[in-house]
Amino acid sequence: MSRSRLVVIKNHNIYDSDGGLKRDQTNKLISHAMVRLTGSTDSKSAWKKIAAQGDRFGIKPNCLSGRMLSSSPVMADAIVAGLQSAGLRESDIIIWERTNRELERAGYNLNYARNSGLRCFGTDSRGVGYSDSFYQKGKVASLISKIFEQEIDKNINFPILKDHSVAGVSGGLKNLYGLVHNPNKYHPDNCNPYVAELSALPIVREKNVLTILDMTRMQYNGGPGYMPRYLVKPGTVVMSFDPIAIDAYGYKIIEDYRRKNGLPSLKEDKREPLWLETGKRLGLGESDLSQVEIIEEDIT
Amino acid sequence: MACGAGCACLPFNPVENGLALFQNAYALETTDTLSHVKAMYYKKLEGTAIECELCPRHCLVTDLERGYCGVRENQGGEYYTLVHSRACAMNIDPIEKKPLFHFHPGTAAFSIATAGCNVNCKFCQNWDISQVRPEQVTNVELPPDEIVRICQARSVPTVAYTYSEPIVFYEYMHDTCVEGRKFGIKNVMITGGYIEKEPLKKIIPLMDAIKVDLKSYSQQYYEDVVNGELQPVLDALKIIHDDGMWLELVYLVVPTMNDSTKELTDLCRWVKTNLSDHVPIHFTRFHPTYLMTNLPPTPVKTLEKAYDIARQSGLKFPYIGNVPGHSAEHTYCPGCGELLIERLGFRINKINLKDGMCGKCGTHIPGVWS
Repeated sequence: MSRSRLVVIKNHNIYDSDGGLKRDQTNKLISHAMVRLTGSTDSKSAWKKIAAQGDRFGIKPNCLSGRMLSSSPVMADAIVAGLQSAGLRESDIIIWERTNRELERAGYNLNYARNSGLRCFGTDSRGVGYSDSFYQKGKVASLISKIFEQEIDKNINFPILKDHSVAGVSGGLKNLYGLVHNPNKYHPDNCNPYVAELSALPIVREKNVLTILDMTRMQYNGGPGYMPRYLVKPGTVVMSFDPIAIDAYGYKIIEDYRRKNGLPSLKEDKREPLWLETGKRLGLGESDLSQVEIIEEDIT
Repeated sequence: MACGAGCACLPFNPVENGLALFQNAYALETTDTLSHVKAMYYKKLEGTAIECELCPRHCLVTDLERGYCGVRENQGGEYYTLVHSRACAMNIDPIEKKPLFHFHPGTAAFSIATAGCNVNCKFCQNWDISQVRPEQVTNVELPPDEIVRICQARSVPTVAYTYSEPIVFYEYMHDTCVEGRKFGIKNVMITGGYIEKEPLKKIIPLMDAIKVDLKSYSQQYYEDVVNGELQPVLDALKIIHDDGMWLELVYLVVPTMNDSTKELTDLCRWVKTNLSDHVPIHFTRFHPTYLMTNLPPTPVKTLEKAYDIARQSGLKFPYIGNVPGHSAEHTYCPGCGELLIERLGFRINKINLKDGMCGKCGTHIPGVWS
C-alpha cells in the first residue's frame, strides 16, 4: 500500500479587507492543492482524477457554528469550479448539510431545483429526510441522509478545523456526524469509537472520495461553537485522500496552537481523539504522521 | 426507551394517522418550530458549556450542541428543552396498555409523547419517535392547558407520559402535571427510570402512579442492549417505592439475553427485598424490531418460567404480558387464590374487588382502586 499523501497549501493573500476570502486567490489555492495532491500537471487533469462527466457529487461543509466558523462558501465555489472543469454539470453537484437553517446561517444560498444550477439544501428539506433502513458498524446504527444515499455518487468532505469539547478535534470524520439522524447518540466516551465507525460504513468509504479541510479560519479551543478569542486565520487548505491522516494533522495543528497559547493539551484535558487510532485499526488511514507524505507549500 | 413493554402499544403518530383524530376535534396545529423553554436541571460550566443534571448521563454540552437525548440544546450557555408542548404522538389508551394493572382498572389515559430518549434500547418498538430528533417527526403544538381541555372533553381521568421517554420532556411533563392537578386530572409516568434523584423526587409528588421498565438485572445488558446503567434505575425504584408512590414494573423478556433462571431469580429477590412483595411485575413478550431483529419472539414457556420464579420468590402479583388470553393476565387474590380482575388483552371482563379487598376472603389488594 502506498503512503498516504497530505498537502498543506498556504496563501496569506487569500483574505479581503473584510476578512472574507478573495475568489481568485481561493481558486488559486484549491487548484494548486489539487495539482499537488494528485501529482497532475494542471488543475483540470487533477480534478479528472476524482471526477468524470456524469458523476453526481456532493460537498459536505460543516455549518454548525454560523458564518464565522463554518466551511467557506467561497471555497465551496472553488471546489465546484474544479469539479465543473472535470466535465460535471453544475446541477450534478449538491452542497448539503443537516439543515437548511445551518446552510443559510453559514452564508450558503439554498437551491432545491434540479437542472437549475448548483443545488444546495439540507436533509431536513421537505421530501428528503433519512434512509429507510439502518446502516450499522460496531456501535453505530443510523439512518443516513438520503442526499448521501441516493442523490450523489461521490462526496467531498469539506470540514473546517476546530477544537471540540467532547471529540477533541472536529475535522473531517467528525463532520460526518451531519450524515446521520442521531448524532447525539455518538458523543459518549469522547466520541470513540463512533467517529471512526461512522466513517467505516461501507457506503461512506465508497462515496467519500476526498477531504478538503478549510483552514482559512480555525479555532483551537472552546469549540465547536464560535469563540472569537481562540480563532486564528492560517490562510491554509489541507487536502488528502486519507481521512485519518488529515484529522491527525488537524490534531497536531490544534495542539501546536494550544501549546503556544498556554492551554493544556487535549490529552491533559481528557479529550484526546483516540478515535484516530480506532480509525487506523479499521483500515481507514494512517494516524502516524511520520508515515504520511506531507507536502507543505506557501504560494502567497 | 420507556415503553419497553414490547407490546403493540404503538401510539397514534401524527405523521401516520393520529393527527386527524385530535387535530380535527380540537383544532390542533402542527408546527415546524421547536420550543425555547429553559431546562430545569443543569449547571453552567466554564465558558458557554453546561452539564445536564437531569439524568445520570450528565451530558457535557457546549454551545449549539445537544445532549444524548437530542431534545435539549445549549444556546449560548443556557440549556433549553426543544420539545415543551411539542407532542409527536398521542392517543387515548386503556390504562392496562401502559401497563398499570392495579391503578383504576378499566379507565382511560390520554397518552402523550415527544421525540427523544436518554437511552437507546436495541429492541425499542417506538424508535421512530424515541431515537430521533424533534425536527425529524411531525409535532403538534399541545400546551398543558390544551391537554387538560382534551381530558375534560373526553372524560379521560388520567394523563400518561409515555411511548418515548418522559424524562427527556421533563419540563413539559412537570407543567402538565401541575395544570392537570388543578382540575383533578391524574398523572402517570411510564419510564425507564434512568433519572437523577433530585428531579425524580420533585416529580413524584405530582404523579399518581409510575411504571418503570426494568430492562434487565445485569449491568452488562444495560451497557450492551440499553446503552444505560442498571444501578441508577435500581436507585430510582427505591426512591419511588419508599415515597409511597404506586409502582409497577415491566420486565421485557428477551430470548437468550435476559431470561436466565439466575438473572430472573436475582431480579425477583431484589424486588422483594428492596421494594416489596406486592409490587406488580409484568413479564412481557419481546417481538423482534429496530436493531434486534435476529431474535425470535419470546416463547410463552419462557414467560411462564419467569412468572413461576416470581411466585416462588414470594412476589404476589406477577403477570405475563403481550400474550392475550393467558391466565397470567389476571389478578388473583394472594390470600385465597380467587380471580379478582379478569382481563383479555387491554380489556377488563370482570372485577371482583370491594373497596380494594378480595370479594371472597377480604384480603387487602394493594393498588389505587378508587
